[in-house]
Amino acid sequence: MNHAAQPRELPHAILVVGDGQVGILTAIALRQALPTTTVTVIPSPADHAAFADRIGTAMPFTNRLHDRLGISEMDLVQRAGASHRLVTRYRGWASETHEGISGYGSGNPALGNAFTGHFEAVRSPGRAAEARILTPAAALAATGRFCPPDGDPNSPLATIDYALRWNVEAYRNLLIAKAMQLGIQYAPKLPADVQYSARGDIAAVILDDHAGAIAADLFIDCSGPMRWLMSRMAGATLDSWRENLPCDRVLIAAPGEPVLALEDRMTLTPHGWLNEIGGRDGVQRIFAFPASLGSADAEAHLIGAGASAAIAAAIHPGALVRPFVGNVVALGDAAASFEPIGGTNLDLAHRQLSLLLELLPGRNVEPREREEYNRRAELMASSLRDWLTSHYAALGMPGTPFTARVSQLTYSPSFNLLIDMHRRHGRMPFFEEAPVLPSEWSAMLLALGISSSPSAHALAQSAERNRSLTQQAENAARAAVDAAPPYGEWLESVLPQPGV
Amino acid sequence: MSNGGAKPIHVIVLGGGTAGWMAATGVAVMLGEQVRVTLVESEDIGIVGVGEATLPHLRSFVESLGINESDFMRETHATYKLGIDFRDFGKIGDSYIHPFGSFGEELAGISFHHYWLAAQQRGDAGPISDYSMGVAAAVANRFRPPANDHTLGSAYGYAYQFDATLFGPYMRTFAISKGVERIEGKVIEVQKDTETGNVTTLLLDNGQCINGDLFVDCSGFRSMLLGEAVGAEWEDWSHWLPCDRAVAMPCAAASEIIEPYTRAIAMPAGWRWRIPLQHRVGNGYVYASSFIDDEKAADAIVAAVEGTSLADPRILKFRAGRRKNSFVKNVIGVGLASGFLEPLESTSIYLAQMAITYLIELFPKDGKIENADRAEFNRLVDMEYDRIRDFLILHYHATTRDDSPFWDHVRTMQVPDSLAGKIELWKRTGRIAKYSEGLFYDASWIAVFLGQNILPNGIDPRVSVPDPGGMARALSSLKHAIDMEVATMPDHRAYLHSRSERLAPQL
Repeated sequence: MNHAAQPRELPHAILVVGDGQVGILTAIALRQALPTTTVTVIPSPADHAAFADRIGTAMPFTNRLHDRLGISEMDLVQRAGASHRLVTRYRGWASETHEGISGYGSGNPALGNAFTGHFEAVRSPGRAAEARILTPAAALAATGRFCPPDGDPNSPLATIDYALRWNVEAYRNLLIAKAMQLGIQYAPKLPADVQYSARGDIAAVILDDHAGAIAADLFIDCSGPMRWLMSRMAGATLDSWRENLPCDRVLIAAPGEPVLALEDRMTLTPHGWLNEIGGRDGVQRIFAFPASLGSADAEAHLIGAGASAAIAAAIHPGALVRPFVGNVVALGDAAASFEPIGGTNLDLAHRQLSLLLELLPGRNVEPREREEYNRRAELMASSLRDWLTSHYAALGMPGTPFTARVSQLTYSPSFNLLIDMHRRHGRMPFFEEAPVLPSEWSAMLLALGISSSPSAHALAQSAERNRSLTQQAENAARAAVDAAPPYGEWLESVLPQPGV
Repeated sequence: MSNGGAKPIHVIVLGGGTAGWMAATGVAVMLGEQVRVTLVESEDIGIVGVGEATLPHLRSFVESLGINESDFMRETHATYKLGIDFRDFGKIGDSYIHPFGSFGEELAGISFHHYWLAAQQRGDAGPISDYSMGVAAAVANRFRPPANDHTLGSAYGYAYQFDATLFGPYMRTFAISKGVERIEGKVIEVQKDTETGNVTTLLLDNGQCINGDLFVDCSGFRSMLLGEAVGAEWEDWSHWLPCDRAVAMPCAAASEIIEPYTRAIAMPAGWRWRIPLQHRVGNGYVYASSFIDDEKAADAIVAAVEGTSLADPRILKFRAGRRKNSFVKNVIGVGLASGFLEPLESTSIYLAQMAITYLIELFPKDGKIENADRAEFNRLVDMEYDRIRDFLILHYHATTRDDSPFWDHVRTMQVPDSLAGKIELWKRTGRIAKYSEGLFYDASWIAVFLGQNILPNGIDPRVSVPDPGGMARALSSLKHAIDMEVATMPDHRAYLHSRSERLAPQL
């Protein structure tokens, strides 16, 4: 035993810049991991494009992170207006009348890719919208029935995965209460400047109003795309996604009327897309579009959908090449800024946070460890970029201004690979650190109307086996519907004060 | 489902070794009526067939072909395998088992080995092997298939140790029953289309002309189609993996005990394997011919084996490396025709299986091969080879042995950058670079690093947070639980013999 394997020195202090839902959850996670470390949160200047802070939804990964941090889903339902999204309905992407549905999870592993391939194979070309086979999640969303799986592996609901949406303010208040219990410090002063150490790391952040300075070993930038800390670090460079993604303007409407639905909608319009996220306290409507198309149509669409008083945000799509520089880590929109599709901004923030927890530095940052963090974070960002690009791979509405803009996009080599493999072989290549499972990704492509032809292996399956798989899938969908109560009834049964 | 009456794609497999029959079977069974599969082999050409130890992946391969496990075990004289016991690698006298499975369990998001390293410094922990089901069962010579739940009884995997010279023929019988056509003959000429450069025809010594659409080259090291006919360049790795020969010699089992694991024992100019099958033990010395001559190597294996030898030492020659591309024109290399990595981690059959799986995934349905399919196949195959290569090099490089020129060389050689980075990350932080694709994941790297005495200087800072007393108790109760679980497992030999249908007749 030639070396002494000693635990590295714990960080004494960590400062989180940004007090939105990302910053506070980050502080909670760090404090729980490092109970002897002083964790302080300060606000950052308001940034309209900090979507991970402003939009109250994420992806299924967040549920796992919440579990791990002791944030119970039931608390979110009871105190933060949370509801469940089982599927997203895409409308108008492949044609004016197109509709497609995709959900989460690997589905029934026994059905696998052979089934996906078959699903496509049995669809006759002219009837693409008439999907005969429903997944359990789609069947539940269509019938409005659901309750979260109770952990019984034999339940027909056991394989269903879902995302939550919530009321941002109530969720943030719930996090603040937890942060206070954990002894996290809060300094309600904006940052004014930084002090550097001799080697160019940040030593302290100087607060506004002569409120002093906060020194720390590690600094977390949760300030959104303004990158309050990162913009002060030499070596933080941006990989622009302007050539890969079409939208750089986003309108977020004031919350609308309450909507209790198990599905959200993504609608393509001639000028951009409209995401409608259901919510018990009010529907969230988001419209994204290219600046070159002007905001008049975007506003008209939101008003047409019943929304008012939109917040306008400009984005510069792109990701930091290295989101961990010196002793500063950028999370969420500070690390990558992009059009907010389906809760992915917050999902990315949470996956990065989870990566940081996995590779948590000691008081001194080890360069190799930082490199490993950056390697994996870069994979996260590039596969997310490809996932976002997927939405634009086959728009079926020729002649619209948006389609014209989309036609100018360039695709990354990895994106070209995946779309080609999907189309010709019904196959989804594996991407390390991808935002979704391969099965979720191919389901989404199919829902967007990007068809695939079955693999040679799928074609070799017997008609009998295919019939049996179809039957299994239909049975699974039916069993799920039979096992679940109407969603509203379930909600009433768990809410402390039954709803109106 | 039929392919709409279109003419089946004619797949020609050249070579009737393990890779050839695996490829022919896989393609024929998985692709059904879309293909017609012909395998060309010659009884005059021997097969290498020394890969006697396998990885758990082989189970899913034989299962997906619809092969019955007992049947397969009986015909190949197979035993169960829980891992590999590496001896004398880090230094002479060392021994550690690289199991199919992990060590301990993650706690609060931190890998077990961080807590173990801290506890060990305090004298609160036994060897890391105390905390692995796979290792504990192996050293106890016990076996039972893992449970299909989340209990300790599920925390290991298994593979087979079998007679590879029987595996090929077994697959041959199975393949022929699935409609693969076998043609006896030696290829004397390979004809190509002058325009496309695709291989069109194999001319055999008996005058037969074999035409095909797609050619799978399983001709072994000669790489007759991939290397010779379409000119795929060779990338040599012998500077990192200098072993280029093996001398194999089976012997009778010297004891009643059948170990459920393979042994790899470091030797002055390489290492030797010891693989217990149902009625005999496979042995062989893998060595670098630049450090020892054939005769001395043969003497060394003769001196080392425990039982009566069943054959004269047989010498095999190879070289480490791979073709820069394994899918060129209409030729796909599978097995040795595509590349070779020495059997230190039993990867040979896996590498063939992996290539067959990717070929099936990317199979050109209409017979027209797209460049994108070749590129994707080559990307995947390269990734698999490169990651295994780094892992193998680690076994040689992570040593303090200075007792022979061979070990001096591998200890001091410059390793690939990709490996150097992984070693440095481990040494500085105790962390493993994470990949989810490829073959060997964190548990395997941890087994070799710790087993070969590469300890990190620094480990996760959070392991100093929990109370050391509680940690010591948790470690001791985990060891106790593993010991109790292993005590309920039958002896490997007894389990094997409990069902006669998986036993080969006594020879």
